Amino acid sequence: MKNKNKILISVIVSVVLLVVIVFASIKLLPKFTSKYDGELTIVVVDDKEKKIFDKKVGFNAGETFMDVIDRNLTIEYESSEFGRMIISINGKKQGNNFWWVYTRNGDFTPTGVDSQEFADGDVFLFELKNFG
Amino acid sequence: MNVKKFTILSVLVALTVVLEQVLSFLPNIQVTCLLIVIIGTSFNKSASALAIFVYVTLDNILGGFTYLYPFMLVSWLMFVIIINLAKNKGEFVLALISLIFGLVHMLILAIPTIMILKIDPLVYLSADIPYTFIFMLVNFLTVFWLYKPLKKVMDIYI
Repeated sequence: MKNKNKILISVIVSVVLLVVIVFASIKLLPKFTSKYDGELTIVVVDDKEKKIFDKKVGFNAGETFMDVIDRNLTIEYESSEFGRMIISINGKKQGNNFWWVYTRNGDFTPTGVDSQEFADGDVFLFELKNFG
Repeated sequence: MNVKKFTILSVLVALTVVLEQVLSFLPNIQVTCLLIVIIGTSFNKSASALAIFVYVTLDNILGGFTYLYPFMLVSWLMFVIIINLAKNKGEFVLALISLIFGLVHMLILAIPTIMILKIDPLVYLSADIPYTFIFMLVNFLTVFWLYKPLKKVMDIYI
């Protein structure tokens, strides 16, 4: 192979690799340089047991659980004597014996969403369950 | 393998280890890959595998044994065997294999590191991107430019 061709191939490979580095860095870096103080995993499962939402969402100190979920999901509530009750998540309404329930790290919580506590790394699973 | 070939192989392995230590102040800039390509194309599979075993073991003795030792061994062994199978191809193909090896080697070493140290894979891979690409590029350029002249010299002695 002639030196001229070798130089050309070397330059092409170097430029392609450089472009890949820049592209990969731009794509990956924002994913871990979070602007939040902590992170929760929120999973939403509909009445057909299909995951309609599964994301890590950020929160800042001082925010309530409602602030966090309202920022990431479209939720409709109904007031009750126990506090606010979820009746719909992302358009999926409860009814016909299907009710929205949720767990924190796999356990049902004694409080409603109004006063729900949370910590960095928690996993909240919302499910539209059949109680019929 | 006769004594002469065995001596040349020993010198090549020694050179690989020493040059890696000498160039260790430059991140991932090394001629290890080039010398392994020379070994893989000049010797048979078992001699090449023996060279890899000695090189990786010496490298770990000098740098300190870690959980990465078996993974390094597997990665470099895989590389030298592939190079041996492609020994009759031109320097471009060998350089291309070396370039791809840079990425594969990083991934092989990343898996145990992520699992044992429980690091977020995305964070680890992102931080490792520049070093991996330096490794890939250096592998490609050294093999592409220096393999042929070095192999000519090697062929005189073997």
